Amino acid sequence: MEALRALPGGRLLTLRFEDFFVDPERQLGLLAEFLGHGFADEGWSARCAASVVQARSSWHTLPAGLADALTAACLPGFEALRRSGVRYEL
Amino acid sequence: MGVPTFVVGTGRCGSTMISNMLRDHPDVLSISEFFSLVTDGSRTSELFSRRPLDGRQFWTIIAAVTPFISFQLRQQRRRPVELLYPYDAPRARYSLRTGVPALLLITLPHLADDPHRLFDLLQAEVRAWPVAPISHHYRRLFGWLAELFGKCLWVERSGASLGRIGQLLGLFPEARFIHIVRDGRDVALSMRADKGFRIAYVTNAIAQHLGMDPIGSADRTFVDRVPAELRPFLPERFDPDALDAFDIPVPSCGAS
Repeated sequence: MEALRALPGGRLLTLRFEDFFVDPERQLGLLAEFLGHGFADEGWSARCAASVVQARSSWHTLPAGLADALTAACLPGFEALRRSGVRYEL
Repeated sequence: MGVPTFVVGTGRCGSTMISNMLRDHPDVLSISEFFSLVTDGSRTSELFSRRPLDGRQFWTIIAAVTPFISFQLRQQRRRPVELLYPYDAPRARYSLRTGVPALLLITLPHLADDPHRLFDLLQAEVRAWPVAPISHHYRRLFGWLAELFGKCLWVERSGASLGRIGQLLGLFPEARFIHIVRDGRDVALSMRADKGFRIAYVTNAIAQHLGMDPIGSADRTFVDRVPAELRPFLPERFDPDALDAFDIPVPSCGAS
C-alpha cells in the first residue's frame, strides 16, 4: 500500500467495496471520472448499478471474543488504510 | 491506447465485480486475472524480466500451463465459479488432465464466448512479433486485444495484486491504479472459506517446513519437519477431505 501512497496525484483512485451497495451510481461516477474525459456513460452506469447484489458482511456474526481477535489481527491493515484516508468502524 | 490502468486489491475484496462492470463499458477492455494467473504466484522473474525476447518466447511464457494453479484445481471437487474455462465439460479442448493454459482459465473467456478462437488468433499474432523488452510485448498484447474489441483503453485487474505494484510500475512507469478496499474482517472470512486460499495456506505452511516449494520440487529431505496435521497436504498425497476438516484460525486470516 506504501507504493500506492507514493504515487503522484491523480494516479490513484481508492474505492470502498461496501460503498457500491450504498450508492453505486456515485462510485461508478468516480470510476468513470478517473478513467478520463468521455468515459461517463449513463447507460453503462445504470446497467452496472442495477447489477449490484449486496454482499454479506459475515464478521458481525462471529462470537464476540473471536470478532475481537479478528479485529485485533486486522488492525495493521486498518491503520494502513486510515493513513490513506479510508476508515472502517472498529 | 490510453494510460495503463490496473485495479488492485487484497484478494476476496470485490474487485471481480469491478472487472465485470468494466467489461460492460463501451470503451474499456477489461482484462481479468492476467498477471495473477500467468505469474502463478512465483513466476515473477520470467514475467517481469528486463531481458528482451521475441514473440515466440513471450507466447511460451503467457500461454504456459502453470503448476500451482493446475495443482489447486486438481484438488477441488468442483470447478470454482470464477474459473470461466469449462475444463470439466465433455470434449473440452483442455482439461485438468491435459493442463489448461493460464491465459484461458479466466482472461480470454471473460472477453469472448469462443475463447479457443481468441487464443488461436492471439497465438498467430504474438508469435510473429520481433524481439523487444517484455513491457513492450504486454503493451502490444493488451493494445491488440483492445483494438480487436473496438476499445480505446485497457484495464487489468488481478486478485491479490497489492504486492505486485512495484513490479507493475517497473513495466508501466506511468500506470495509474484503482484500489478496491473491503473491510479486512470480511476479506479474512471470505479467504478462510475459499478452497483455493485454503490450498495455498497449507501449501505455504508446508513450504516453510520443507524449505522449498513442495509442488515445484520433489525433494523431501526435511519431510520429518512437517507437522503431522499438515502431512495430508503434501502434493503427492493431498487429501481433500482433510482440507475440509482443517481448521485455519480466524485471526491468522486477518493477519494475512
